[in-house]
Amino acid sequence: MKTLSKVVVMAGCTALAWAAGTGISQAATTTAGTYATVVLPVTITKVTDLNFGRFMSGGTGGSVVVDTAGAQSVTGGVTTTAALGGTATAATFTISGEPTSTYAVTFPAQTPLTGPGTSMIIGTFTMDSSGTLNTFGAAPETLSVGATLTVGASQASGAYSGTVDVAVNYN
Amino acid sequence: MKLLFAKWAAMVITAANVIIGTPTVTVVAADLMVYPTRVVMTDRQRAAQVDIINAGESQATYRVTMVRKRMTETGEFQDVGTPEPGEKFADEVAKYSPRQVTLLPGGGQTIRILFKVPPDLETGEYRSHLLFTRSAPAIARLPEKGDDEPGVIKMNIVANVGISIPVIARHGDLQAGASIDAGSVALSGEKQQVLSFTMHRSGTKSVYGDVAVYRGQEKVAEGKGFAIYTPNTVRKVSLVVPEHSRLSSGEAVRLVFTERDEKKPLAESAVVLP
Repeated sequence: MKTLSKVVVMAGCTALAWAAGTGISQAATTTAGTYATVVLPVTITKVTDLNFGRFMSGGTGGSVVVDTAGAQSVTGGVTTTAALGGTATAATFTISGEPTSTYAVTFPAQTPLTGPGTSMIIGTFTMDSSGTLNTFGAAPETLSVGATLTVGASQASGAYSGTVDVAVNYN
Repeated sequence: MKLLFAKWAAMVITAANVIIGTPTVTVVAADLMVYPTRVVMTDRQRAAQVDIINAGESQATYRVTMVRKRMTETGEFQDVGTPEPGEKFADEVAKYSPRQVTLLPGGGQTIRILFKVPPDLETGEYRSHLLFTRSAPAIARLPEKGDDEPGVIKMNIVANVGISIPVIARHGDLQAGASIDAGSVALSGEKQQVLSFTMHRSGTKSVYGDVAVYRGQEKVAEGKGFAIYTPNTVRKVSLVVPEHSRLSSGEAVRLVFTERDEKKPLAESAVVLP
């Protein structure tokens, strides 16, 4: 039986005042393969919003892409100009955790946004990091997230909503 | 959990709609603690437990699901649609309970996992991932009366942040070896120096551990918690070299991979930096 030390892992966006020794007291009986390391809570904080910018929907469907640098591009019946596209921004999050530890963030393949018209689909998430993607740095790093929005032909106005399941994955 | 409110104002300009996006985002914490962050079961150790604690300030319901994930060479995860040769999944041999938990603030729950070994089970390593997600309310936000302006598209995107940990069940006598490809070592990056190299895995089980780079006795860079899962044989590793220990071409370094809780390195390689 390995010596158990305390491990605290947290995903979320609220940094807790945390000290080594906060943890879960364990009955050392049926725990298989636990690792005696102290892990800092993972924190994720939003900095900038995902903004697909301005564009014109047309008689045929198309899509709007925002890359991790916040540059907008359009396909199909969707049209734009440099001035309209200039308002697009990638979503940015500050993420921090145990320095030099490995992580991976995953996004869903596609998420429907349901509303008064045909569902619009957000998908093809792209990601970049100010540090080394998938490794926590000593300082919090910024994750930039881009995505693709599929717009229907003459998309109906109103409120559209959906849930995007993001996951922080441990190795 | 993050909430994204995207407001889209549309103006009619010569029979085309201009859609203006001005979203605002509110971040709400998932506030879940999970311990431990990986589970390994064997023929002799067929039971495991994972504890979760609601560290938030309100009651929350979490769903616990077992999902299949595939790791890429760079350590990213992808969902598994169609299994590839050599992939074995723990959801076929592991049972767990409970699958949904409602926790008061500060409340905790133990998730029990059992490895069921049928008599004809093929030897090998079976892996899935336990995913903890906060159940989002069915309706995140009711549309307010008078909220709908004609010609405006609004978006409410709720981003739900979850945690996943690997659940590994090993059947039979399994071995693994690892090696570091000395020829793959490269230095890159101006502002932030990154040392990258390729690691290889051999054998019948996955490896998990920490990588360190030494210059003489000095540890100049490290990366913790790297796994190379079966059936993968390759993982590309990138380590950030801190400013105060910058490396330069022509220097001799030693790369070491040590499995968790082991003293003796599993793989070691001495290289002169290109």
